[in-house]
Amino acid sequence: MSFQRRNVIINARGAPPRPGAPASPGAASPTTPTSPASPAAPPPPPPPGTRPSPINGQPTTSTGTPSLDSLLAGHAGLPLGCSLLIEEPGTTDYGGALLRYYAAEGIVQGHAVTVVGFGDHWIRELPAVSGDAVVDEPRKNKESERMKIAWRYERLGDFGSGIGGSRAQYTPDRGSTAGDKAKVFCHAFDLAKRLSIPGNAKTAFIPPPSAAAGRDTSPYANIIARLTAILSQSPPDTIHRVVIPSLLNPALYPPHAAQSTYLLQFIHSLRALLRNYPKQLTIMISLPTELYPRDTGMIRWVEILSDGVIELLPLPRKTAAKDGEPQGLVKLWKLPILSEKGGGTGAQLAAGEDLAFTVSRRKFEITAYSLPPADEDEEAERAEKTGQGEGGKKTKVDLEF
Amino acid sequence: MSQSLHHDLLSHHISLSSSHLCLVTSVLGASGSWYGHSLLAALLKSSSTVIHLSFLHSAVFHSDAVRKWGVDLGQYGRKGRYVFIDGLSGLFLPDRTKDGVSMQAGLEKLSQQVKEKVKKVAAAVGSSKVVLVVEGPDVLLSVGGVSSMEVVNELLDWHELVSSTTVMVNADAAFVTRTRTRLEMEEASFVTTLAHQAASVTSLRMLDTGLAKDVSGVLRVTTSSETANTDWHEKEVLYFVKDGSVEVFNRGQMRS
Repeated sequence: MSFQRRNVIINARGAPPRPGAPASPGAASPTTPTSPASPAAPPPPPPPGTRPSPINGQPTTSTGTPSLDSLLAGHAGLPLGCSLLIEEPGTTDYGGALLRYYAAEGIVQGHAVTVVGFGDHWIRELPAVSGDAVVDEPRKNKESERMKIAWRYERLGDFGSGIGGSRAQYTPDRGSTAGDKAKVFCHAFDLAKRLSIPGNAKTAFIPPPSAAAGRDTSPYANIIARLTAILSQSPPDTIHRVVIPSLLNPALYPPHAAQSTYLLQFIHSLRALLRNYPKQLTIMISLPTELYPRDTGMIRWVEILSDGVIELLPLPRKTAAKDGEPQGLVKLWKLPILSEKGGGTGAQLAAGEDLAFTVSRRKFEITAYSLPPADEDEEAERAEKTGQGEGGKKTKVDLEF
Repeated sequence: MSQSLHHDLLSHHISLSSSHLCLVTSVLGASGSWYGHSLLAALLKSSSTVIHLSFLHSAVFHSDAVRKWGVDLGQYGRKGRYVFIDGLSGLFLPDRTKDGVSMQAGLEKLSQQVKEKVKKVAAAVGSSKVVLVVEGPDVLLSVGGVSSMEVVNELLDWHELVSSTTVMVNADAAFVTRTRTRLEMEEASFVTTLAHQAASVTSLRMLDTGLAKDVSGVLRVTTSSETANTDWHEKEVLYFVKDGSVEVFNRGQMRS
């Protein structure tokens, strides 16, 4: 029988039909034995913690921060084989929080996590997975008002809802609910709790370059050698995350580590490693730019050799932050894949919107930034003080003489 | 309309570049790789043989992107009309593919490797048909730590072996205007020297007025007065890189 009924959905992945779906008797089942040309081996499921990008199908992995995932040029995650550079001027370390989420997500997903420059105490301070209570509430509402027509676009999140993390909540709708649990792409973390590292976690620590080694050899040679060894010795289906917190921090790195030739050779080699392991490796680097500002040639080269560049600009603080008030602004200088192809970052943002980040105990969130509207009460108060109290209390009736 | 404008620019570039050096500059937010890819596609369609040396990207990145322009680099590679030289993966790491060049033994050794490959291709098809496209030779300055004059000399040596050369470099303000460190000074002198040598300079930059949703950047072509036998010397257009295509248009032009 060479015909297939048109209205039967072809199950591309070769997964068994859902038990709830009404089985149309005699429609699909007779064709299966007579069609040896049908794909015999379904493509292997993506490794845990990865999913294909909605734009080009490239595998992506989560940064551990849903709102950052949704900003990465529509890939809804960090594409494998890409690096992300987080720059931050000043003395704060908000970028460190992003790196912790990234590493914690990797450990929870069973990825190999390599930390450069710190010992295992860094990984013991990672945030723990928190209950999905916060995440689940809005999701349930969405579940009920799901659109039937636009099922393809559902994963792209609410159109025009700004840059909220709705994209990150997409989980494939096939398979049982028990399977969904294992397929969570991005977990929610609680900064106040410590993640308990499972015994079989694949972690490695590469010490910072030592000042004792001579100035004539690259201080980074050891790091690159160790990374190459770790990557070449691991099985080809292991996903690796390399975390480089506070690169060039003088407390960790010797002075000659900031020599442009050594540093750029290191970054160029990292780029070469990323391209050699395009389906396994992601790297996240945080770089304090107080000592090495962005407008110097050296840092600009670091940016050119990175795939994504994000700058966190902390806002000056007068008093303790009010609830939900952003701590700083976010600038996107380069986005993975898109920028390399020549696209501008402007297409990502809704009409010149500024972005801001908020770090709370629960999450690191990047949202659209707008100045708060002038408070009406304040305005009225001011009006009274200047002796125009009447004006403040005028009602609509009064105005209509 | 927009396609033909882009086509004009490319044919201008190709016609000028015969026996000349052309320079393409880009900045961080406005990468020139889309221009390079469309140029590669146009060159291959026009029966030239292309040698492509890239210090910033892998072969996969280029072949994926050029496929969007309707050209299969693998196919041309098998025919011997496209030769890719990998300057990224083996430059400072032990090379696994063996078709790349290495900086570990110094610039002369690297240049030797490039020349051998270029000569081999030139001997096969005749040097008048060979076009060399070099992407990111400024990596050698910044990462390799050699002086700008050395790299310029090597580039000109390579250029002598082929009919035309297009060099793509970074020209961020951090390199060109802030000349305080060795790296910045070398970078500035490199770009300036090449710009004076070049028959045409194509520079890409971000929109001066800020970010826009439907414009990726500005492309400006300046032609040297000696070589200009065309009807224009200077042109400035806007471009927008979309998912699979690029739109090139004039300022204020109506777009669909």
